[in-house]
Amino acid sequence: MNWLLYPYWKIRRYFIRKDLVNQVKEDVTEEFLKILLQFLRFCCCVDDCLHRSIKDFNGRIEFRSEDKDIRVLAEFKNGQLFPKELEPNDELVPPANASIVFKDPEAVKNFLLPEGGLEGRRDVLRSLLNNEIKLEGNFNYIYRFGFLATHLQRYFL
Amino acid sequence: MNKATFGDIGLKDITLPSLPRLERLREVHFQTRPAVCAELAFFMTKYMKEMDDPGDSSELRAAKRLKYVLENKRAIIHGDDLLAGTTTSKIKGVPIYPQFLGQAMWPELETVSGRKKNPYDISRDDIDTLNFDVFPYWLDRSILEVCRKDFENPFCQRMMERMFFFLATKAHTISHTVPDYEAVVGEGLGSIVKKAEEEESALEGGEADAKKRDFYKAVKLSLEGVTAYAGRLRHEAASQAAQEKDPVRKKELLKMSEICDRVPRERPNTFQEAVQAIWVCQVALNQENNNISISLGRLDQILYPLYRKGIEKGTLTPSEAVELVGCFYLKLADHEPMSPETAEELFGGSGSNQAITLGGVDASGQDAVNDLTYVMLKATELLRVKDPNVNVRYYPGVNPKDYLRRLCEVNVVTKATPCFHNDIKNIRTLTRQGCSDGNGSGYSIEDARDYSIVGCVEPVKGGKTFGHTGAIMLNLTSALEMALFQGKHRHTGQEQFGPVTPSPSQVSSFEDFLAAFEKQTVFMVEQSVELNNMLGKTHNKVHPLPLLSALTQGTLDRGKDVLEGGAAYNSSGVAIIGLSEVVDSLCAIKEFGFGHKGYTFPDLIAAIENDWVGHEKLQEKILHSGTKFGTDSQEAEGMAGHVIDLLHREYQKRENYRGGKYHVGYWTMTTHAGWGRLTGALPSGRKKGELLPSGITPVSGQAPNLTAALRFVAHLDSCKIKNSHALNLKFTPIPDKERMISSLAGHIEAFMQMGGLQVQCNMIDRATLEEAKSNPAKHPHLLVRVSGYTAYFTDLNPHMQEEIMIRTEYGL
Repeated sequence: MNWLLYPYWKIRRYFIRKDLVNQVKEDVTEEFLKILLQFLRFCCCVDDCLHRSIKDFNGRIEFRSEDKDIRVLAEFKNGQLFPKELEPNDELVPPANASIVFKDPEAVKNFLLPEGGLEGRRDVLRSLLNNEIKLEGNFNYIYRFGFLATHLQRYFL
Repeated sequence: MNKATFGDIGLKDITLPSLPRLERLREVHFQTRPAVCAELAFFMTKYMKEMDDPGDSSELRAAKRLKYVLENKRAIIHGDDLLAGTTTSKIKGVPIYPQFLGQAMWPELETVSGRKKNPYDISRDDIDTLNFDVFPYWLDRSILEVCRKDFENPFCQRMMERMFFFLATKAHTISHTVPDYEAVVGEGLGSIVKKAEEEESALEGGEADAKKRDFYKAVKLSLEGVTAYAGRLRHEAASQAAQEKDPVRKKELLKMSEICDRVPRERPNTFQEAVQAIWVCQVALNQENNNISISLGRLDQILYPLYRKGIEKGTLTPSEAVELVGCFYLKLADHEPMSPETAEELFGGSGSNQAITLGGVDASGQDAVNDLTYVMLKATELLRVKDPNVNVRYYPGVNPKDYLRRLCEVNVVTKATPCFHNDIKNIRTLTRQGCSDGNGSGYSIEDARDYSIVGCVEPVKGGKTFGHTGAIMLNLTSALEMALFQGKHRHTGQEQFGPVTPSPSQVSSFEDFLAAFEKQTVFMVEQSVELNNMLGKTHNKVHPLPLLSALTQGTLDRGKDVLEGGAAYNSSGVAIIGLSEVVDSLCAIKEFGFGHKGYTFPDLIAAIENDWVGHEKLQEKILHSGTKFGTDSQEAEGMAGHVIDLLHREYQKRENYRGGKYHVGYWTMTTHAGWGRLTGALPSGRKKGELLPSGITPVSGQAPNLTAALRFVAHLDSCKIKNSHALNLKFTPIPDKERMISSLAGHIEAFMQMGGLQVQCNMIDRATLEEAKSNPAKHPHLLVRVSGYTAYFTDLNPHMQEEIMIRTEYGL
């Protein structure tokens, strides 16, 4: 990170975080997921742990509602995160390494920012057992994303 | 040869204060919070990244990797311990196995130290090692993901991953076995190396022989790794001795150094050498495989000759033997299986569940109880630790009554251990001749008499069997659920899992419903077997077990890894969860579902869909019907027999990936609590979310008569319960301890005479448990029997605590 740009990053972080917090209070939409992933993308640039965590990570994780109304892709490539909105009928080639399919908007919020929103704890298995989400593909990618999201939540939210 | 000579078999003069070292080590054990240890994961990953040769066979790759780990693992001797070596680099470690489910801890790495239940310490270095170096490497290489890729994301795997149908545990571990510690003590690892060399030199040049050659090389490499680790311990002991000021401790360390110089490579000459040899091998096995029930076998038999030799030569006293056995027990408890936060809800509080077996008869059928049996019982009584899981064998009419009484005394004092096994019934079940299906477990009579317990309750011939006795855990209430809802599960909504069976309006008789239940059960059996076999093949491809193979008889003769069917006896074990709940439900459907009592099958469905709200009268009638598992009801006994027969028959039809049979048992670890929470209301009168009964125990409150409950379980056909069962009983303690012991002994003797297979008892009342739940700090080490193993009550999740509290309490 270029430390000369520190004030800029700080201001940018403030506004993205504000957007995200506002979104958490609203219903979950693609916008929420997109802002969350953008915030993660931003933090990956400024936080050493997050930066190192995705340095060699090449993988694609899809978030989608059961009816595919909400569909967002988190693509990790060359040490960066690229969030992308998807149309319900978009075909992913190659397929995502893992998909998190959520029952309803609240479920994805609970999964990503669990138990009381920003103060909560992430637990992939709990969401599974409560049948709030369904996981498809390689679970390890989801666990890896879980680490990133937990770190984000602990240090930036 | 075996001889019990003690005048006082309770060894009353040996107390914890008389063994201050043991008292100190015990205190350290209880005061130490488990800590995540990345050492094993780090060395495994480093080897794979920098040294692995993909051109090698899978056997050689696994052996070289293990050897590297053992050559580099830190040699640790804690405090004034008498035994050298540790499972992890921590005092009480949580090892991470990235090739299994280690990565499930990934999201929790930064929060696990603060979680509410069973937190683990973790250093920032270990977080970084796991997050940056270890887990990313294994992202696509864990057993589960290789299986998914090789078998194209099979339905059976996706079904398991929904969490409440069944678990195929090979994703997490392949242990649940008893290594050949008889050979370690009787011959030393050197003789196994020699045998592998002889077999290898006898090979010719063909392709099949090339595979065998690699296997023998792998065995030798893995054993060299063990010897290298012992060598590091020798250096560490010598180094500590050089710095030690206290002459007594200095002498002990020098002795430990000498011992580690000899064993486990050579045959141990003393009791301490033998215990150290076993411990080093156990540590090494824990580096090869996740330790879920790598059990120890009949240690009172294996170690007795050297114990007796020491006593006769005057180099060992019973008190010293208790101290050494105590140190060994605490060593076995030096690690905990990793458990992500929610897995705590299913398996929370479980230790590694390493079983030790004591007593019983010898290979010729004679009484095998000896002085060392009582020494080991004394250590059990003094320490009251959850690991090892102490199992005792009793042969009515052959073993002395005083022995049974002593077992009961230990149970009363510890409140939860040991666990009792009936030799008559177990031996009959294990032999071909004794079984109703003419098959048994296929053991010779000598091997059957020499059985030992794996994990919770499962009997095998130790050292000769690769039985992975905990391979599958099947939630039978899910089969019932799918029969009630045409192959769907209420928890997963409209998803079709099982075959489409008739809807309530199409079910016109109990026979119709039973057919649907059988169909769904067969479907679940098929899926669980398919996945277990896929995972077994995957294991063999990416993670063969050369060290466990070296310590299992048959493998060297066949030139095959245990995962390829090298063991003398091959089988896989299944544990069924929810039997009594399902039997009670089937009885209720038969009695109330088809007009006999004014209700119809759709009435029952409506009642459970509404969680009995608005149907309380029907629920009341069902709950008080008397046709229940564990009562005098012939109807219920017949139903239980039918379900047990169905499961036995269907699993027996299918072979495991090694050409062995599936053995069915009824024990639950803590899954009955977790799965109960996820299960809807059932026709038995059970409400949504109530806990399922543990093991083969009747539903709580439904079998109030102890004699009837014991008779009911004793009359079940044990030949169809080859993976044994866990019958949990809870007794109200009484002030008169002697009467309590006598009465317990009487009940156990009677149960075994009736034909009971296994029983385990909590000697604790509900009030004490409630107090411990409210004030856990006051009862940090309260030992309770869960379902086959012991745990500290305060470590258990709230559901499991509740389950133990509400268990039917019988009087003595």
